[in-house]
Amino acid sequence: MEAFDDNGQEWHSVSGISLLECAYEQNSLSIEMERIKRLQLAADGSMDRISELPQAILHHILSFLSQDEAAETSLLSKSWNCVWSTRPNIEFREKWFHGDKEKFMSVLNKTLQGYRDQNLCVHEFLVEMSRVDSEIVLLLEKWIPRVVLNMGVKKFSLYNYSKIAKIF
Amino acid sequence: MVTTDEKGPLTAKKKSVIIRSCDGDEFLVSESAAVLSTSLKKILEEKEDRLIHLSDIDNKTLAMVIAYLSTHADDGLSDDLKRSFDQEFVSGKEFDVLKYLVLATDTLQVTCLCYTVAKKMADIMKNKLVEWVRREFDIQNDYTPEAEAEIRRLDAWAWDDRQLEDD
Repeated sequence: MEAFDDNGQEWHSVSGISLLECAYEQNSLSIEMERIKRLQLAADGSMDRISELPQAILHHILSFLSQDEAAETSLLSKSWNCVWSTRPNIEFREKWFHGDKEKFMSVLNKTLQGYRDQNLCVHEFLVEMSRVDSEIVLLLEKWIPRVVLNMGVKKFSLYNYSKIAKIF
Repeated sequence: MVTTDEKGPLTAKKKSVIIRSCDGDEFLVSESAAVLSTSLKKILEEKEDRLIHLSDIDNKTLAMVIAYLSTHADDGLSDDLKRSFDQEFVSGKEFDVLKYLVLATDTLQVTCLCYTVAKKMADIMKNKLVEWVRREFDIQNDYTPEAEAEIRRLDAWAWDDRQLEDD
């Protein structure tokens, strides 16, 4: 655990936690099915210049894009939507939602629920919010233990731009 | 054909290995350079034979990876020079060249180079219109107009304010 100040700096961070030994058979299975689907596309000659790369490499490439930039790739094609929606690094910044806190919380909740339903790993998880209130605390209390303990997170960051320093 | 790496002929005393590409070209590489690849290091630890055959890396890609490994194994170069080399290494390379490089570095487990190449590929896609990326990488849009509109509606938060380029 590390603590930082509240001027937009990271003030809670858990890193180095690797729980990859947790059983992710379903995740491995879906990756294998994705690989087979890609091989079939390649055999058909319908594979494009980039999608033939293994999903892990495509995830690596997407990890250098911010969430909004990476989200754009979901529009490319159905297979890219699949790559984007299973990437192991999740980033949510409230400012993207232009003050619509309900939308911010709903998208965050829906995204994490999707990962949980599919038993997907989350290696990096970042949430940035403008203020901390009881609603966001409830949401974070629901997800932080799951993300940290059950989803294989290696780096976890919460950013807060308000003057409220801590939620715990 | 045996080609020495870019650092010149190797002395008999210096330990070296021969790496063969999938198309049969052979490269003589110092062991200190080869072991910067985690995969090659494991192979060298497990077998006596100093000839390694890589069945899925072509000669051009392998030559580039070896140039990288040899530069990074050179103790005479400062870290700053190595960083400049890394930036030069990926600049101006065609996307397909980067694609084979990233696959090779993934296979050979050359983490730093894999990072540099993947980042360069992301930079190429960054701030580009969906239509530009589809065109550039021959990606077939298999959405119906309705399905694409639905994704744009659902994830509108992600790209409302972005200034994207189409060239």
